[in-house]
Amino acid sequence: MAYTLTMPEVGETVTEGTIEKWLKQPGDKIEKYEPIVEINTDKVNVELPSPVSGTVKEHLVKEGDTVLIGAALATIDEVAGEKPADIAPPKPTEASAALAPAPAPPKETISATTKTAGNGRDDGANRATPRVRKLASELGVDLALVTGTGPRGRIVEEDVRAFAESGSKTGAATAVAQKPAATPHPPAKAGADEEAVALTPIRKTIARRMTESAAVPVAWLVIECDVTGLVALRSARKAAFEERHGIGLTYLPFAAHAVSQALLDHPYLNATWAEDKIILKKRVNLSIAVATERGLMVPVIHDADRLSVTGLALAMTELGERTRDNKLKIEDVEGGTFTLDNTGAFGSILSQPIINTGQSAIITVEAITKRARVVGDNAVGVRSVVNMCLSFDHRVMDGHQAGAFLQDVKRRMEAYGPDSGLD
Amino acid sequence: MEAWDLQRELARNRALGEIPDTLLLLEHPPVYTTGRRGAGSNLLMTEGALGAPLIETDRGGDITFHGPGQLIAYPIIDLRAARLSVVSYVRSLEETVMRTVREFGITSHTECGLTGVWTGETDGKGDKIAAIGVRVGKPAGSSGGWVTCHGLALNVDVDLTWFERIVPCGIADRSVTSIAAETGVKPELAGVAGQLASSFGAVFGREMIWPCGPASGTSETTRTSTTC
Repeated sequence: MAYTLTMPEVGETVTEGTIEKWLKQPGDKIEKYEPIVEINTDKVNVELPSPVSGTVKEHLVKEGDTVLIGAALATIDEVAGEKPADIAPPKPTEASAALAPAPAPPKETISATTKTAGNGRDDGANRATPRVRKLASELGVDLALVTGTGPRGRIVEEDVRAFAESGSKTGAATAVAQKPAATPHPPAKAGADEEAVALTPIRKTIARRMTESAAVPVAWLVIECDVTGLVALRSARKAAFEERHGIGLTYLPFAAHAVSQALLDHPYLNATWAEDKIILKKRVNLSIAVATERGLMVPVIHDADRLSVTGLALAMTELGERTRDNKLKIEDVEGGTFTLDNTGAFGSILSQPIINTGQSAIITVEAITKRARVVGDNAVGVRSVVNMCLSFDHRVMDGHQAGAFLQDVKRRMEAYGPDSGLD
Repeated sequence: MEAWDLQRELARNRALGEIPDTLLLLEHPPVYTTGRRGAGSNLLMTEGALGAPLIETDRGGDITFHGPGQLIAYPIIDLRAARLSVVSYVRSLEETVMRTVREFGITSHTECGLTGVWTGETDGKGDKIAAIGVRVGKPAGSSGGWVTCHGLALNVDVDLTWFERIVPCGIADRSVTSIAAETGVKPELAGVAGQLASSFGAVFGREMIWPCGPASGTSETTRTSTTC
């Protein structure tokens, strides 16, 4: 049985291509997906894979010929029983067609051109039956992006399956399935006394990750730590530390140390939700939130539990510098298992952090303030106190584990005193 | 040749999902390359008199020159994962170049039917400042991604007399130019590389990460990727 290889569709405006080079001759054996011919279209050389395995029978066109889409190129004596593969290069979707805006001054609103709903409608839900909507939600498909091939643009099951297969896998793998877009309205345009700010890639990434995190059921706990001892410790050691290591000594490495050590005893805080199971991470890789002028970045200190306060201080300074200078490597932003956020730097005394994608909890260190507190049985004194706020994924753990972890962190933060070692 | 091998290796790794999308930025020693169709009548002197080797490659496009002072960018991207069609990809590459040269005060345009980036605003006029020649395939041979190879060459401060020995890209009635020729300024290649990477990030909607720091010298490949 001979299979006829035809010229696939290569691009939305391309109707023909030229045979550049046959990679397989009549009589040659060929495997499914093995390159069989090179076709040139519009200065792009496309290497076409064979849809079937078998033996090449005949070339129907020769090198240098120009052929139309759909034209027969060759016959192949195929191995029986195999289903021919779809070998067409990627087709454009609504989203990609808007990829390159026309040359314009940089302040153009790029946000309006990305992720516009397929077929120019608001969301896909009104084009799909409840059964199709259920399938879409199971496969993590955003109906707003699907082109319907049913009557009057209705989305049928096949559309959803094809869309799910075709590459909804862009983006970092997250344990949480994509939530269908919640916005039924097209994006607003800036009015006369408003200014539109184009989205930088980093802004888009942050927005997408935060939206994903919003799907996680989060609970929040706060604990107050008496860090009078820690304040005294830092005052006493600051100058010598700076002299010896060339960097300043802040409170953050102390918090990082307390948190990293505590995580070793509270594994559910160092875990991730994986739909049908919880994955406990063996390594403590501490993500540190760093504010840069480009936006929030979260580099990672791997194996933070193995570092002393000094080691953490040095690692944080080094990472912070590289983050601000835009010199991070892939390894620097991957593998984080728990996040520490120094919201105190903004003067905040309470904040509700958003859990980092793929993690199960995040903790903040708020501003250290002097307050009047009860000391001893019934005296009042001035103490340095700091709040630490924990947001946690309630699917992974309950208040019990979260609370126990916080107690541990508090104990360590309050244990710092003038005799504590830094190294 | 090393760069060519490196690309194929990376393309295979990309198709297998082992590495993220990557942008290689580099500078070649002098070489003339052609696509599959060979040089033919586009050579204006004998191959021996060219002064640089002539190599047939597996990209699209006709004969062109690569050499010092020219920034070469090879994006190695899985088009299927990026949900880009082949044509959108080429157009996006052109857009990336146009934004890059705009930073140097050069207006440019693209012309239907003539891939590449041309100076000025009018179709049919202007000189070629960047050439584009792309290859797309499934290097892993599996049902995996469609990965790009080759890419673009932007003339920064290249010696334009090299182009006089050929009919560049088979287009006889237009000239070749460079950033230096257009502006009188000779920017450092590393700086232009950084510019191009930024523009690339903006056009393709990616975050660019430099594993080794932006190129501090020539012949250094720098890798950028997406964290999306």
